[in-house]
Order: sequence, then structure tokens, then C-alpha cells
Amino acid sequence: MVQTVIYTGFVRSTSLLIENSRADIWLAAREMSFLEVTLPIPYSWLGTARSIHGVARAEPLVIRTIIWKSLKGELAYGRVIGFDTEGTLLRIGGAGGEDLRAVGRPAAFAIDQGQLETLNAAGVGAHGTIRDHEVHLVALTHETQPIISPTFFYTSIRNAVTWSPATMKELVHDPFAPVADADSPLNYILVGVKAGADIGAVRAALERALPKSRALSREEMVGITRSYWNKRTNLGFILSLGALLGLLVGAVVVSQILYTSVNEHLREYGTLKALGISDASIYASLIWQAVAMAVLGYVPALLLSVAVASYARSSRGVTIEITPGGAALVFALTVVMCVGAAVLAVQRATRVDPAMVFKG
Amino acid sequence: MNAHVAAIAGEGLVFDYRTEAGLVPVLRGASLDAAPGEVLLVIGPSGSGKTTLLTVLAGMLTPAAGRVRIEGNEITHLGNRERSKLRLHRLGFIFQGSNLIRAMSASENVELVLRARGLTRRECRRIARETFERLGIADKLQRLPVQLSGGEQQRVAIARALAGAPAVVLADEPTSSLDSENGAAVIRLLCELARERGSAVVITSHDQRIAPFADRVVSISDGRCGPL
Repeated sequence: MVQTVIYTGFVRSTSLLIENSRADIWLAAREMSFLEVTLPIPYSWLGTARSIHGVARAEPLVIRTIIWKSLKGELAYGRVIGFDTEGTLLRIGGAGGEDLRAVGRPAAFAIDQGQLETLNAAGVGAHGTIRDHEVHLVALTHETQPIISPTFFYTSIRNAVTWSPATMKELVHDPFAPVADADSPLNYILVGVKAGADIGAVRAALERALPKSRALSREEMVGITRSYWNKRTNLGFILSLGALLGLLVGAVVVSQILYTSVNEHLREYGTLKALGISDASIYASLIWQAVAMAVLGYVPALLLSVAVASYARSSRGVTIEITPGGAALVFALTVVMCVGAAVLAVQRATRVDPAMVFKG
Repeated sequence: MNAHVAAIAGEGLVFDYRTEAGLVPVLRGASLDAAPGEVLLVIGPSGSGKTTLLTVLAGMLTPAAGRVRIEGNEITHLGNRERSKLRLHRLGFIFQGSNLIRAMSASENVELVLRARGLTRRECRRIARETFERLGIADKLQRLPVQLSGGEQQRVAIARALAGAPAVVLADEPTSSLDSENGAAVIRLLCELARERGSAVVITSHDQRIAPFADRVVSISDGRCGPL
């Protein structure tokens, strides 16, 4: 249960930024692998996107890799998420209008509360440098940080481009000039469609107008990002292996308990068969025992998982969300695992010879 | 039911145990029958085949030759599922030990069989309570087997065997784990209750003291049954 919750929490955390956005469509380069790995797209696409019939809003998003240096000289790896702080399509958890306005100012940024320790920062007001630019923390967000990714620095597009490595700097002669340059690359364009507009039709129109693009629904973007971590990284593999091993170990333990229990009560099973109790009734009793074990194991494991998730959130800002659907899925898996583990015990019980009860 | 039809009849039963040394003959044409309400005692020394005879009569072992009839219906050719159903609905059992289910109360041990027969929970409780009252253990309904004495456990076993008024009760050495006083009390209750309910009882034992309670006594020797 705990491994499964950590695994699902990890996978879910990778797509929090996308899930929390209000964008109906994420427009990206066709080669995009997942949120953090994509090719730049021309700034000019933004204007094209805004001109498409059915598009209500289109906002730019850039993602850049940076090195943060604290006042004590400690370095940390980070991702700058540059977005339209006056826009409406990207929501950063817990940050209100005042915070967003602050983040939009030069040299300002926000991070998830759980990342303070990573940056060796005390709180709002902390200073540091990114590529020799002095920057300061102006707001904290909540539950926006993927577990595995480097710290996300939320800031304006202008700041993001300013803090980018040299190759990007070449595109911005004035660090604080508006990024309206048609040559400046973006990474995504977030699109909100007009009320009543057909999202599918808008996506198709965007891809027709921008042949090298992919116009993905928010759900597709979430799916691609999760799938990347799940299938293409060792971390996803190891965590899923951990969850799988947890299930297997659970199955072995339950199987051993039930099998031992049947062995200890062989004479009673023989008596039941001698009395004429059907095999189906004996199966049913063992299955019920397995289900009872699933419930008895699940409830404390759920409580433990809630505690672990709470600790992870409070101590490291790591979001391990236990959704009702996820909890129900894990419960269903636990029941299936326990019932599956009862197979050996069922076989043992049904092979009991009822004549044994006459043998003293 | 036809009064002339035996509740249970074994005819020319042959059974061999297969061992590493070869086949060991146990029953060599054993025959017996019991009428409804009749108590038949099969007496014989250890190793004479009493338990094997009972096991064959219960349909748990298939004889190499011969037939077993319950209320006139031959069961020898029935499959395991049919035999199991027959045991549930028409036979009752009392074993050497009480063989009660340890995790269930005395009442639940009795209700278990009745529930499997399809009776409602309420009917099962009523029948169990009435049977316990008849056996003088009404105050033990909710006790677990470990909380009962040997004699009380065997009375619960009698209740379980007879609560559903089966055609036949097969009792294997039912007094072997009891002292003589408790043994006599248990056998007397078993015989009385069986007669009241019209159930035939086949008791196998090596204990001659049971004989006065039986309507008929046969001995088993060299795999065959005969008058004592």
C-alpha cells in the first residue's frame, strides 16, 4: 500500500503543473517528449495561435534549466518556469493575485514551500543569484513541485529568458525588455478556447496552421508526461517495481498465512467435507478470510500512507496525493492480491479426504 | 417412505487398502442393514474393519464390490458431489472425537449443517435450541467447544448429527473418549433422540457396554458381519 501510494504520488506529481493549469490545449513542438523535455518553438506561433478561430486566449510558457547559487555559495539545479503572470491559464498552487504580480516583477520568483531547504533559503525575501543576476524569492506556492524534478522557479517570461544560459541570452539584448521579439523561442503555448467552441476542431486548426506543432489536450499532456516518467526512466521503473514487489510480498505473506491456517485446521475441513458441506462453501469461506485479511491490512496501511504523505508534504513539500479513486484502486488491488493468494489454501482444503475424520 | 425399505443397507461390501506391500483386504463381503428408528451396533476388535465399513457406508470410500443403499437408493455409483449432497441431507455423523469446529459456538456448529441445507437462520436457531434443550445442554448454546467438557462436546456432536432428522446416523466409537458414566449417558441420549426422530443409527464400537442400548448387535470379523 505504502509503496503503491508513493509510486502513484510520484507519477501524479510529475504532472501537477499541467493538471492545475486552465489551458484546454498545450501547443508544443512535434518532438516534445514530456513537460520538461521539448524543443523550442518560435515566438511567432503565439500570434498564429491567437488568430485561430475558437481561441479565446493564448499564453506563452518557457522552461529553462538554470543553476541557483545561494548567498552562502551553495549551488542547486533548477528549472525556470516562465509564464504570463498577467494571464489566466497557468495556475501556480496557493499563489494569489498579489503574489503573481510580485512574481512578475524583475528578479522575482516563487518556489514551492517544500523547496526552501533545497535552496538553503529561509523564506520569502531570500536572495541568491542565477547566472550572476541577483534574484529574490517573493512568494511560496503549495503542491506544485514534482517529486523528482529540480526546483521549479516560477517567474515571468522576461525573467526566465534573462536567467537562461548564454545561448539564450543572445536572443535578449536587454535583460528587462519585453519578450515580444518574434525570434525569441518559447516552449509551450497554453490555449484557452472560447466557451462552446469544439476543442477538437481548435486543436486540428492549430496543427494545420502550425505543421510542426502538436496541439494536445490537457489530459493528453498529463498522460504523456506521466508515461515518460513511468516507462522511459529507471526511476519510474524502480518505483513501479517497488510497488509490484510490495504486492508480491503481500501476496506471499497472505498465501502463507492462509495455507498455514488451512494446514492447522485440516481435520476441521475434513469434518466439513464429511458432513457434506460443498467445496463451493469451503472456497467461499477461504475467500472471505482473504477479503477480511485485505481489509485488515488495507485500513492500517491507508492510515500509514496518509501519515507518510502528510510527513512528506510538511517536511519536504513533496505532494503524495491519496485520491479517493487511487485509494479505491489500491483497495481493489489488495483484494485481488489477497484472493489470488488464497488459491493454494483453497487447493489444500479441497484436497482434504473427508474419510480422514474416521481415522481417529 | 416404504416401511419395508431399510434406511441403510450394505450388501456384499468388499474393500482393500492399497499399501506398499500390496492390497490388504479389509472388507470381504460385509453386509448389514438398519431400519428407520433402529439402533444397530457393529462390534468388533481394533483392526476388524469397523471404521472402514462406516466410511464405505457413508460414501466416502468406494467399495471394490458390493452396494450401499440409503433409503433404497444405491449410492455406490454416485459422483463425489452427489455423495456429498446425500451426506448433507440424509446422513448424520458422530466421530470418535467430537470434531466440532473450534472457532464456532456449540449452536453455530449445529446451525452450520442446517444452513448448508438451505434453512433460514431463524429456523436453524430454533432447531438448534430445541435439540440442545432435548439433550439437556440448553445453557451451552453459546459456548465454544473448548469451554465444554468431553461429554458436553459429544452431546453437541449428537445435536449436530440429529438436528436435521437424517435418515441415518453413523457413529464411529462415539464413547471412546468418555468415561463409562458419560459414555452411557451419551449413548442413551443418542438412541432416544434417534428413535424419536425415526433415524436409523449404525454405531461401530469395541465397547460391549453399549450393547444394551442397541436394538440389534452384529459383530464384524475377518471383513464380514454376522450375528453376535
